[in-house]
Amino acid sequence: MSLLKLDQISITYGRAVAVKGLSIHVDEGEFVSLIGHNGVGKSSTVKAIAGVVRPTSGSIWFKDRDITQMDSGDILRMGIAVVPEGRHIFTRLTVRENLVVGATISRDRSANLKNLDSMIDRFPVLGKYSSRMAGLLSGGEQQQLAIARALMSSPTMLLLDEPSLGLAPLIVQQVFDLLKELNEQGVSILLIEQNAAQAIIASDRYYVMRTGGVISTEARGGDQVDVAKIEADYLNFGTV
Amino acid sequence: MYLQYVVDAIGTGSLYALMTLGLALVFSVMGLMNFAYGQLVMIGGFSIIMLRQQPWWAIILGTILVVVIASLLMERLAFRPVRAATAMTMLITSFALAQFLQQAARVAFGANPRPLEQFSELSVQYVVGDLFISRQTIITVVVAISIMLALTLLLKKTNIGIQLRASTEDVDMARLVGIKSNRVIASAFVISGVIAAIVSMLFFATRTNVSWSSGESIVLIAFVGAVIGGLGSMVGAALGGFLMGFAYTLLNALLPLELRVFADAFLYTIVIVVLLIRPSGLIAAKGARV
Repeated sequence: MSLLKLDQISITYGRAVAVKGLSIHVDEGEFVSLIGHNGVGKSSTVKAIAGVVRPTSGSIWFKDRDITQMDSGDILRMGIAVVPEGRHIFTRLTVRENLVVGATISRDRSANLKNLDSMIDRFPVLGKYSSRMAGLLSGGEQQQLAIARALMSSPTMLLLDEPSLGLAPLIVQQVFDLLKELNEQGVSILLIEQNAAQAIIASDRYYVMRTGGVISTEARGGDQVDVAKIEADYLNFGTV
Repeated sequence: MYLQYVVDAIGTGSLYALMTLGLALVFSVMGLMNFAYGQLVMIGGFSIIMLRQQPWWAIILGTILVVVIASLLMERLAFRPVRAATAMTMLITSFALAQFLQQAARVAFGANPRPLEQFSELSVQYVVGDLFISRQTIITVVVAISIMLALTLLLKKTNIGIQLRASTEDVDMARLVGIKSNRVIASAFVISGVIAAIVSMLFFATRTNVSWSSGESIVLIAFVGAVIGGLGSMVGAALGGFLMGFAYTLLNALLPLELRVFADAFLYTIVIVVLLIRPSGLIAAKGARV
């Protein structure tokens, strides 16, 4: 049974078609990547799942419920937490306040505090700088904060848009390791990435997205995959 | 002698700082420059007139209640429907609302200013050395500082305060973490309303009448204060408003008698100079938009 299912969704802005007839799915506990070049509609797809933009046609299902027309808050309450492109941490809030805001949907104060402690255990750097303005953190630290903030809502599924963007290679590796670890602990993951090689290695399954949202392949991920070959194919797909 | 002017200027500055804060708070949360804010102060003025015979605590509570309800109604009926529209649409909505409320007050209370019986308790003067300090000035300064401290605590320590600040910075991300913008914006209007009510009490305590046009000058001062302070920054707003009041009082006191009628012209010349030097205000907030 699929946890998340996009069924033939299309997204248009005015006359511009961003995504056309996209169908993908993520099963419970799965780590799935959606790779593709800039401008193929990956971010639009993320926004549609998160309830920020409405698909012009098609439907999105999560836990067997149609979430196509739900608003962002309700989708989050259903269990999909978003780590958006560019991180979007609240720079003028402290690190701790960013985490507190992440738990907005839960009214259980003691559970939130416990959750906060466990985030600080998992991300020591966030504990160390907890009362510092989040804008002062380094890029890698901000990415950790963005992920930790998403985890504060205890989601079933993490939806990440280009978490590796703008990070040093070593830090990127740490982010992917973290995602794998979270996945092993039971969080389903849908990762949207331009960084195809590492995304494929980290994930159970991956999709390649082409201009207009057509899916070219659906294949198994993991470190046995011949990444060089896929990247070559994938580059071909990317040319418009 | 000069010190006396400074004392008076601090009193006026504190009042203007509060006025500016109420306007700047809503601006920073939803990018709306609410020109009908002055009419909230006017509504406060009329409610003081209606409640004038009541005990002092009833005047205070009643005025706060009336103005907060007016502020919430503004948000719900006028601004919520245009929230997704451009900043320009919201701005025009607020002008229209300001005009509507002024004319409504004119119909309801008449074109002539309504006399306001003075609060003689407030004009008591204390003598400190060579200085005369009125009870009114002391109350204004104490209330302004208390409100600013309370607002700071609210924004830093409460969940709704943290949500408010998060929405101020990045409203789209705030929605993605489940912050309900209706709730956050409504609470900004409640706070703005409480501040407008308190401003109206401090302001009209020194006036002899309330008129349908009483709000006009107030919103202009608050608007300019917010702009020189740096739009979107609370500290900047308080500072900008304070400096406006401070400069205005000093200009009125220190300009040669024949130039005093031009005090406003001098004040706004200073404002223009400040903005030429610092176009985004004294304390610029990141990503602020008009």
